[in-house]
Amino acid sequence: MARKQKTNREIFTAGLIKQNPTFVQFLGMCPTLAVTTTVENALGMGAGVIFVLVLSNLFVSLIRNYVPKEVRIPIYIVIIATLVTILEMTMQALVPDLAKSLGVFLSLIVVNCLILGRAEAFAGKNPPFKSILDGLGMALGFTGGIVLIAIFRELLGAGSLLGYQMIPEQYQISILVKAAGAFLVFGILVAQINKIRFRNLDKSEVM
Amino acid sequence: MKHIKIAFALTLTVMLSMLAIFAVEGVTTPMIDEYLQKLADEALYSIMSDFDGTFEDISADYNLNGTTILEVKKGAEEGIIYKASFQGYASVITYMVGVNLADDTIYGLSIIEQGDSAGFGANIAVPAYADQFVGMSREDLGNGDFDGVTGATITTGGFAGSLAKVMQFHSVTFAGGVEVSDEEVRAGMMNDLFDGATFTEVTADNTTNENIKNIYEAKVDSVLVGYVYFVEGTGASVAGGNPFEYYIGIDLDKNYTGFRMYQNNDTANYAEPYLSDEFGDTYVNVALGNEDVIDAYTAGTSQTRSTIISSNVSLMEYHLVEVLGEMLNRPDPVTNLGVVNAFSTVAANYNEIYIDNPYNESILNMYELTDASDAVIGYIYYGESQGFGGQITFAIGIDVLENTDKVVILSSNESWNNAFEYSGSEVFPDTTWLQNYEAATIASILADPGIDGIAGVSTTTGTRGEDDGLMFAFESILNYHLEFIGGAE
Repeated sequence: MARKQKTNREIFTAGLIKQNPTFVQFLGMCPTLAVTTTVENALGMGAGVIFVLVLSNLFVSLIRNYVPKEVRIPIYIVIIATLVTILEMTMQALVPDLAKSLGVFLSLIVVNCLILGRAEAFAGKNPPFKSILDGLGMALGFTGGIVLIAIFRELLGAGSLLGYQMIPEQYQISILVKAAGAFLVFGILVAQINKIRFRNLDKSEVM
Repeated sequence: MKHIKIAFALTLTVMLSMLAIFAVEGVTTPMIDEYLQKLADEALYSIMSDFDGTFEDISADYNLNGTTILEVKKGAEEGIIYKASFQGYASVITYMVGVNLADDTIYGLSIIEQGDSAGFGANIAVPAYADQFVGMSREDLGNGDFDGVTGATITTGGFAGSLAKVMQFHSVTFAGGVEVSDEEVRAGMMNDLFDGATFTEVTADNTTNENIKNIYEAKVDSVLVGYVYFVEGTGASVAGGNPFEYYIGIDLDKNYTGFRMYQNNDTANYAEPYLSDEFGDTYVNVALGNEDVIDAYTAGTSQTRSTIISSNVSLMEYHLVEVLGEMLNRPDPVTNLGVVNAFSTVAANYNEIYIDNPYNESILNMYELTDASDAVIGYIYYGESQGFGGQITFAIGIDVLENTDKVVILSSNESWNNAFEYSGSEVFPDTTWLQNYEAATIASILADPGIDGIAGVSTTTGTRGEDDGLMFAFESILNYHLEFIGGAE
């Protein structure tokens, strides 16, 4: 559902707000709900996605004219998988505790629809610099999205923020750190964002 | 051309990907290994906190294959740290334990990895649980003198078993301990089955059975309290098909007193649970015949459990029949029906021999009676015929000189009211007509023309020449006896 953007600025900002992967495109829901239990995990996942998405968009864009159309998807996937494997190994070597926290969801970045989606929809058809901007914008939008969810879940559910305990145990809403709570927070945030998105539209135009 | 282009593109992509990953791996693997090593060492230093030297891995000096011990690390002359694992309830549990070489006490213990049920076996990893081990004597730890994990008997049992082996290893290797001899192990197992008893081997005095290696009588103060069997079986393993040997005790109330697996050749971590005393203790006070109540000791070992149980059942049947002289619950239990009353002398054994002899429609079962020295004293045939009111079952006893002894009617639904000759004075089955077949030689009975059916109740008694009724059944049996058992061919 990507509309062709004209200016670089528009390309970059699309992923941040208008086409936010988390709240508008609903891409990458699985890791979204799983790693948003703490802000630290969300930031870690976000950083990983930025790394993979920017580089995968770059590489896909570089080879877009040489790749036979019939096998473009498998090749994109190999590129993404390679990047994720490199990311995983590097994280395990440099930040092993964070890597352990993210666990299997680090590996699952491979199947995050966001990455393959942008590769197919944008990077496969656009020059490298624009692709980098798109990747960066989308990844930052994703990171922003999951960090926002994580702030609510960690603060209200576990009473802490980045590990610093702020709210005592009796006031914690513990369901927020469970899977059900993830859906709740997500749903409420989507509702608020939709409210902002559609406030300028006439009632009759709302889909 | 297109296909080549496609194949080339795919191959090139994959090759480049491989190169990239290979390169990164080369850089990151050493870093990851160093981190893991630090983690492991951290655990070592946290156990021996006052030690500031380096640890030397001496695992290669010993044959640790198949044992519970994974690693042995030496901390100069101060202590040894063991890394070991065992099968818990639902996962393999790995732990480290440090032994002080100077005073034979425990530095401490740390659970490295476990995946047992939260709230139960998983509580073994609660830091406070390990506090009890600090300063404990090595001997106490090896004997299992510590608090188990509440509600996690299997986990605790596996843990105690593994610790015992580790401490035994330490004792022999570093503390001048003596290897427990095989005799001691066996004696210990038998003692677990009958505490404080003396054991006399009676294998030679009993019928041989290829699976039963030894039979012992257990006596306390010279009074017989039960029996211990040493049995061999096949297949009690996760791997399947491996031989296993065990001791099992049976008391005089026909209950098991316990079970001790001597060895089972199973894959490591699956062997231990069935070698544990805890598994063996689940047999205590289980009645013979009730083996079903004994559960598989760990998840995923139901095959192991069933082979052990079926070996137990064969052993149990041997014990019942050969040692206690009982009949097994076959469809026609001898003593219950009064079949034994067909022979005036009480025999020591009533051996079913019907399987070894041809089938006859009148015979339900045949028994060979033997006395205490296994000499044959007679035979009993348990037979049936169709009467007027339904099936008649009876027993007829014959001695070794081909004389009949008694005829006993076991069940019948006949009325004797119409018996022409006996009406009014006799009732079936107490009729004197049956005496025709009692206490006489078979030959004379068969040859006597005077023995005939009774008019009016010919369905019950039969009619000569008609091959029916009790006459037919009795004569069939007597002829059968002459042909297959008697001297005559």
